[in-house]
Amino acid sequence: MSDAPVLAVTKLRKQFGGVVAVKDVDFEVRRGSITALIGPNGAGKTTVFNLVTGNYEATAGSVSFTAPDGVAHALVGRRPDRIARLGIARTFQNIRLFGDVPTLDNVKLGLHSRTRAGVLAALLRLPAAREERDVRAAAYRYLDFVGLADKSHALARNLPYGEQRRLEIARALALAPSLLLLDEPAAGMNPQETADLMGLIRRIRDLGMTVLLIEHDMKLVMGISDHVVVLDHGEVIAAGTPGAVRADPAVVRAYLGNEEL
Amino acid sequence: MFTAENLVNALSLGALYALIAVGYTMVYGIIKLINFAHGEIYMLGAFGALLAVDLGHGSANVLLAVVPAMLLCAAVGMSVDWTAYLPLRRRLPRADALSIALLALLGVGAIFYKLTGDSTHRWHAPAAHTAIGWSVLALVPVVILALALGEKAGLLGRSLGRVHSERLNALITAIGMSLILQTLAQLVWGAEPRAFPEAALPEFLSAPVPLGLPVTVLGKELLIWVTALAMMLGLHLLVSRTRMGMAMRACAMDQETAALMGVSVDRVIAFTFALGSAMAAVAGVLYAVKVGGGISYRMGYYPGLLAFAAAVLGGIGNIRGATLGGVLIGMVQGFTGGTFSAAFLVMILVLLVLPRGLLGEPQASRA
Repeated sequence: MSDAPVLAVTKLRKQFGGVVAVKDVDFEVRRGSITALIGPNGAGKTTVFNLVTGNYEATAGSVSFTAPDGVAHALVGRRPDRIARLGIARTFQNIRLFGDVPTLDNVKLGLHSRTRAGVLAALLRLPAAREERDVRAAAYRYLDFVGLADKSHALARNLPYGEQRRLEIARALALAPSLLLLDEPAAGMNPQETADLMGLIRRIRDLGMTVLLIEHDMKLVMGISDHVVVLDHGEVIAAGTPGAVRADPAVVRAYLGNEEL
Repeated sequence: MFTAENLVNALSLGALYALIAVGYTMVYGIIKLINFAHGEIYMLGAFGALLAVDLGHGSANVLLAVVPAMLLCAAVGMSVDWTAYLPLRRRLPRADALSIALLALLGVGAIFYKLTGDSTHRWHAPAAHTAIGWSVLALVPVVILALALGEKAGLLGRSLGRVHSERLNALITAIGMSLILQTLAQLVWGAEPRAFPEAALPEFLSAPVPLGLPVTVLGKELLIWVTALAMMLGLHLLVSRTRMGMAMRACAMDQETAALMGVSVDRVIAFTFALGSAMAAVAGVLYAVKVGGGISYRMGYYPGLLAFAAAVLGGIGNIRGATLGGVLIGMVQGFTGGTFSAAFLVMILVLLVLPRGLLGEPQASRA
């Protein structure tokens, strides 16, 4: 294990035409932490996620990911599938499951990248019954971990909303990531579901994974985060412990507006 | 019309169209492109086998020559993707340049068709063809170089980038690729239709098979049915049971998410092209065996269109649909004595009732 931050974002910038969505953002994610990225709508949080996972290419700046073996990888310019294979998995703000296939198959796809077989090997191997059993068993374990073991045959799109969010987490966990990005995991959840989710995120952290999450539910953010980074208009306006950030006047202004002026 | 002989012929045609149609449908399923160069891959399959037979000096027979033909077509299919379609998908700066280059080629190709004589003699002027053909090909590096220089000088890229519409560009590029491959095949093998030498055809192909049916079934017809069935079964297993098949299905559903699950989308697409191309190659070889010749640079045009119709008829993007559509189009062709308009009429009628084709699913709405 390395003491270097899992993720070091430096002067990260993303421009869409004339709009600067992310403006020279700097922050770090410590290994083993739960770090929250918060900010008003349109602050650029999801854009930062997309830059980390390679869905967007940064206009400028760098993102450095340090794998558990201590090797640092520059992520900017790398393809999403390569980044995923380095050990970064994510979920989506608007759930993006493979809706027309069973939940178990969704998780099996996450396991797909774990065995490093080339095209030819994959082609030649109509997987032996044993391997298929192993994959299924592993997929079940992930479903069980998020509490969906009894839903393995349901089509993903038929699950209730909260369960779809947990299935997305299971699918991401199947990649065995060292860094898990959760984009608004509690969106649309009732208080009980949110409380369960907090427990789940803690259990994920306790397994040794680092969690970076975007969330609007302040109860969740303040309840589980070790570190909070606040974005507004594409810039980091505050960073620190939940308590420090909550008291920061800049954060209050960003959320409540600046009406007193 | 509805004779047993026609049924035998129709089944064979249907099997061949199905083998081609799955290539259209798999590529469409993943990158939403109608790969109009696919008929030419089928044509190159027949030529590839012919080449292998020629190189084998009489010791090679057609059944063995299928293997190098499949490999050749898999390679060509992937190359077509890499050189022509990948730059358009990735939105590389040079994508516009290449697209324009291929459009220019399409134009030149059309002129080339126009210039080469009237309809009766069009295919009997090899010398003139070769001369014009080479000059078309010579234009390729010139046009690409000019565009590359233009891009370096900042003349292209941004200004053109704003007006482009990706799907349409890729479609036109595919038509251009089709013409380029035809031209290339004509340069290499000439304009005269060729046939496999007798020595390369095992005897059982033209012998009747004792099936106890009231109709004569030749060995080659049975070969076509068995091969097509086996390949369709193999394809089904590959798509449903292997990791690559799972990756293909994931890419067809949502490429971006598949990539974030560690699936190498480019690799899956390349594999899809290779797989579809290899299947089309088999169809090309079998067709040449069936009709006892007809290996020509033009041979891919109508089967390509008909297989495309079959894929649409079955519900584009759906492999079983393409198989079903292929057999159906084969039936129409077999029973109408090869009337192309009848095949398309059937397709139009089916689409009037089922706009998404026989097995087409309603467009999945992405959340």
